[in-house]
Amino acid sequence: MDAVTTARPPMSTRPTLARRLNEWGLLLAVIGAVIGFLIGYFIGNLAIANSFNEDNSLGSDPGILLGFALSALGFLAGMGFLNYPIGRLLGAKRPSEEDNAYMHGEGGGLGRYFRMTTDHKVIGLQYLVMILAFLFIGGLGAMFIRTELLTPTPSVANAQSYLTLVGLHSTLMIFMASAAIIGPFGNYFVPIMIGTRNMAFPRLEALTFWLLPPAGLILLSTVFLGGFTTGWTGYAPLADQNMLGMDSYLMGFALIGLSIGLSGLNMIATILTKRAPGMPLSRMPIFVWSVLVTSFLGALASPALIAAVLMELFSRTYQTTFFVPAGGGSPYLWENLFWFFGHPEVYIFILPAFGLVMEMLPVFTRRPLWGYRVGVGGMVGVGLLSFVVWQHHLFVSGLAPSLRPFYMFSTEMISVPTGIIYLVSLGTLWRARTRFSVPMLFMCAFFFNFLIGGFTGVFLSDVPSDFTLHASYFVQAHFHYTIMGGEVFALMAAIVYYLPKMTGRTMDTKLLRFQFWAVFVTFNGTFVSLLAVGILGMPRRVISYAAYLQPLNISASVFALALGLSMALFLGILIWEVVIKQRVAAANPWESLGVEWQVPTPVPTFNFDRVPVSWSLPYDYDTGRPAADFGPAVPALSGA
Amino acid sequence: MSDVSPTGLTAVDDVEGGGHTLVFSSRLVMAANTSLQLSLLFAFLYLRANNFGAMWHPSGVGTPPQVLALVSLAFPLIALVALWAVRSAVSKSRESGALSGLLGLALLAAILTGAVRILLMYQFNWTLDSAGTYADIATLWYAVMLAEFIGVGLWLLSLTMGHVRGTDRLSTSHARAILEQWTYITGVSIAVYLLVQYVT
Repeated sequence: MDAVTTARPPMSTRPTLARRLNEWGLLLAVIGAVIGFLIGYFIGNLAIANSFNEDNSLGSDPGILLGFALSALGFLAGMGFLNYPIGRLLGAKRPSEEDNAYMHGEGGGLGRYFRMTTDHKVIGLQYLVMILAFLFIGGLGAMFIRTELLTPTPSVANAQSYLTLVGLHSTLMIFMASAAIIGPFGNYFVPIMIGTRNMAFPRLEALTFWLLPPAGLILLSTVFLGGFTTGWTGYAPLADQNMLGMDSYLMGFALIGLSIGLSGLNMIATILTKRAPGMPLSRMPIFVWSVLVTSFLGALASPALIAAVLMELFSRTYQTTFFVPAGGGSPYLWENLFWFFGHPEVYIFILPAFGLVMEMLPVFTRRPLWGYRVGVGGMVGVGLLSFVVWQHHLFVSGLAPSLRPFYMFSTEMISVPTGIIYLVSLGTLWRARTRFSVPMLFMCAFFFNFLIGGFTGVFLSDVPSDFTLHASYFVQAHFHYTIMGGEVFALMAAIVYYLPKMTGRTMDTKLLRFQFWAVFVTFNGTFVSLLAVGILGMPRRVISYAAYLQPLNISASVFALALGLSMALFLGILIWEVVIKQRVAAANPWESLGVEWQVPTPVPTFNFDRVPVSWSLPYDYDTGRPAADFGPAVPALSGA
Repeated sequence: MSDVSPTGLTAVDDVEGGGHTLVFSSRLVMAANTSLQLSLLFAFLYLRANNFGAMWHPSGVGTPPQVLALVSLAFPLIALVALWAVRSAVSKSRESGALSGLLGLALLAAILTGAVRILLMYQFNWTLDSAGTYADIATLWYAVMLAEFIGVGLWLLSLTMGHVRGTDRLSTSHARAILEQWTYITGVSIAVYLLVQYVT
């Protein structure tokens, strides 16, 4: 085989104006956002709102919404996202190889993490930092909520601000959860795992990330605009009656929906058209499968959310009455459209977590993944069924009684493919000489927590018990068992596991083991208490509750505050070990056979000298054969 | 480590999806768009079927002006024919001058499509806070379709400019992808027209 060099053209010594501006991308983006908001606010209030006689001391809905829209556009323009499309519209030449290499971050230092770049690895790390920031802010909200609920009557907040706090916490966490696994790990590792140098649409990949900071900031701006009282589901007609803070929710959710949809399209295109030679679908790593299924969910479900949000935006600006019964509308329409997106969204959270756990399990059990094809089938089954279960959220809000059995049955059916995924994992663990390293501990906790989440879900899919438990803390605890107990524990496992590859740094094992037990015990202490509170009938989203529920609420709050501390400890260890102490990691500390661990650390800008040939699944721990052939230049299991 | 893997394949410099990726992704966008259109269709039929408070289509609220609505469908069809000819010319490697003319014709029809649809929406003359949900959903749907025509129209503009200025030769896959997209939204806009005009 001929040795082929893939060296890129050297960077020119004099950067162009576009590149100089790109270096200041974040600053320009902030300036663009401020200018965009002011222009939109001015036009919206003067030109549009006046025609509806809207009057409010803070402005009008059209003013705020147009301000938000133009601020997001200004932010993206400042980052440089409009340069390429405008250039194309004017018939400019395509970017040169050198320009593409620059945009990919070649030759850039730390600064490339603060500007638009098309390197999927940089974008993966950008996602990771943003996800952790959202997790921290959302977690602070949870601490405030649990502090308030230490007493049965309002003590710190009033009902309005409490509801805003609950809505802000939940919506931020939904933001975080929808990208928690695919954002950092999907973007970073999928191209490497499938053996390609880049995503199908690298600029689009960057856009899906940079849509999120404005989305988060717009959402947080609700505290200055009177908040919103609908919770994360944004139910109408309450949404129509809310103050300007509701606009923050709507615009934030619209941007996140756009990001989810675009990210899904890009991932599907990349996985289905850019795999390495010798990698049919049947030889893809199972994590890539989970990302593929999730991407289909995101691409096909998020348009329903966008349709619903568009209707609500029209209602708040043009006074349409889609969801107002007196005007011919129905709140039930919002509920249907929202949950058609909302239930697949739950699997957008959890399927990548399952994929990641199944990807990591063979490494720690030193056995091939048991029932790979069955596991893939399970994930596809979950994905398909997730589109026909949404009405179980509406059992008590007007669903025709004759339809209830079908949706009860379809919802209960989803436990079958989920159970199959479980069996694949258990089969891999069976009689294995498992290494209980820190990621493995988090994975064990993932299975334990998700099992409780799954069992409690059965009661909510069952019509009679759902009538009793609906809108209670039981639902809230069930949801947290699946998403926090499942996805967030998988996220922590993945951070510990992949950090050495992503940063070349690692974390102290003793501290992490202590942190693991702290977070595991306090998590279960919190949510077992809340399951009990829910069974006793305490509704969620209320600031006051019956006095006899106080002991259990105190238990939940104390555990929750300790849980917050233990999560903060994880962040503290991460920052201390990786940023400050910079503890150097071995090249392949877990002795994985995966392609991602065969490339050097740090991963080269374009991933490979030559695109490897895939010749087996990356789970061949019986023989120890790596999953891909890199040609003669790269030794197998580098660093193992 | 061998030079040739058991699969009989050898390592390559890069995996380029190229035109295949473009056409495939364009179809994915159509799939996602179908989900959006079905959501709007569901809303339309749901609101009409239930006619809450007899406010689906109150008396005195008209339908969009028929002639203008038909004209707004004629231009996308002209663009469609032009794009079909563009694709045919590209696949047969016809000379560049004819191609530029066809691209220009398609672009002109696309611009007129947008202009007429904006004019049409101004002619609705509905006061949305009291015109019933028929007017609400029709306005929203027409706005969505306008945005889609503008989006694909901008794509067409970029292809035309690249071709005319000689900076980017129009490829078969580009011609095919944009033809498919335009066909799709033209088809949807005809369906929306029929619904709004006749399912009142």
